[in-house]
Amino acid sequence: MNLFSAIGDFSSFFFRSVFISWHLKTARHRILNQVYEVGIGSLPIILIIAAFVGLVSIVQTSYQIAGTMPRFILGATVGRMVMIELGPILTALMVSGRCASSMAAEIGTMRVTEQIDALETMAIDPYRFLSLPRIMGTFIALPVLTVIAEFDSLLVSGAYAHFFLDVPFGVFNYGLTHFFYAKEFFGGLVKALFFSVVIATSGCYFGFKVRGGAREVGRAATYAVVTASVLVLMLDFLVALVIFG
Amino acid sequence: MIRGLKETLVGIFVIIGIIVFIVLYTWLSGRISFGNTYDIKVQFEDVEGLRVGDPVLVFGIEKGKVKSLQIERDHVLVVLAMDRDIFLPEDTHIAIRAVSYIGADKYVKVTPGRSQEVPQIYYGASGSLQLEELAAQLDSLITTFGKIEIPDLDEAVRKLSNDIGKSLEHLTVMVKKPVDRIEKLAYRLDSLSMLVKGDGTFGKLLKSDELYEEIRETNLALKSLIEDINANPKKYLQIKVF
Repeated sequence: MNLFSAIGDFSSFFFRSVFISWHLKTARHRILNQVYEVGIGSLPIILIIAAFVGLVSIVQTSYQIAGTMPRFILGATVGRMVMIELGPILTALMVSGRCASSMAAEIGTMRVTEQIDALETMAIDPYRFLSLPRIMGTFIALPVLTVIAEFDSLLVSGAYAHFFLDVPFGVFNYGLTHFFYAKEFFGGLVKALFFSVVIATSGCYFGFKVRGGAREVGRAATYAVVTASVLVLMLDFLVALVIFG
Repeated sequence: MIRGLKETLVGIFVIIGIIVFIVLYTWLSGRISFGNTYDIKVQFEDVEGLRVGDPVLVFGIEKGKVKSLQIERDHVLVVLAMDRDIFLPEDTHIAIRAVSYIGADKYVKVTPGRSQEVPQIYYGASGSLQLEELAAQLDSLITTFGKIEIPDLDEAVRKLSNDIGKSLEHLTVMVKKPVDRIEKLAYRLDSLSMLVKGDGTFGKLLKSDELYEEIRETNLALKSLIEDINANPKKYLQIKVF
């Protein structure tokens, strides 16, 4: 399969999974299940990662501007870094590493054990039954995780500046709020929406494409994570170009 | 049961997400204050581009923020969130100033007064003379001067220039004549000086003591000769008719 046919196959899989007739009443439980898996399941690791993102940002920014700029620039710089780039990107990469692989492995195992064939035999559309809830669930969970991660990062970085860098929280907060643009905040969340779609689609696609046995299932999980990560970074550039370019 | 618990947890997760979103947005947009503050209302005629979140400086120290701006008929009502440790009496002077003269950032300058009364509403000074306004006025003045046109001004300037040129030429000629004469006089004086100083006849005549003595003696001899001639003219004048 060459690159173009792979892109075409991936796109048709996405449209086949999303633009399909479905009822909220029947799909609700499966969607909630995926929100639980992706959102609540990833929450602890996201909180830890976001805290360290905040710490690294404040330490690096403090080192870069030490003695050359006013201290409130710390708040402005860290705030923008977290809102525009670090919050959405690192959350998406963590979720793709944790969830895209599990989706690919789960659906791949169903494929090799012929459970998907059984669904088709029972006239249940496997795309509607397996793909759609995962894409919808990630679409709901990832922006929520991104907002929580950004809040966590900013609180931790502000606290670190206050206690260890001799920058009062009021000064940090002044920089953070005075240079705040709603466009940057919402731009980061729009990115998260796009990322959620490619992460879930990637996990489901490689799960559906498994042919063979356990080895292929493992390979599908790897492909899903790698593809999701690459697509997340590509989309980051494209969305940044449209919103901030 | 497990399904019900899962749904509840998902509901809590989504609601927490929405709450965090609202809190984060209100915090970042400067609507949440982390200090112990109280609000004061200030009435301005014109806020000159002041924005929510701009700092309030009391004697140059940041002690508050602009909380809200609201247009009310012919004025603007500004709410300032001030730190609790600041007391602002009735005669407090409040004005809007620019952080820099090229940027758009503003701040509220507060100078507390000495009164003990606290008003319901403060009145901010507006229309204050600032450097950029002064520059704008100067600019308009320059533009006004640039637009002034005097039809005969060019002609008058040209005539004046010609007249000055002619006068200068005349003056040059007038000055040149005495200068020539002075030069000639100086040359002659120089020649005379050379004559007197030099070793020529005239110089020796003026400088030689020996010659002076000889001339003196000759003079004396001539005097005595003349006296002798006067006394004895016959001795020297012998007139013979035949």
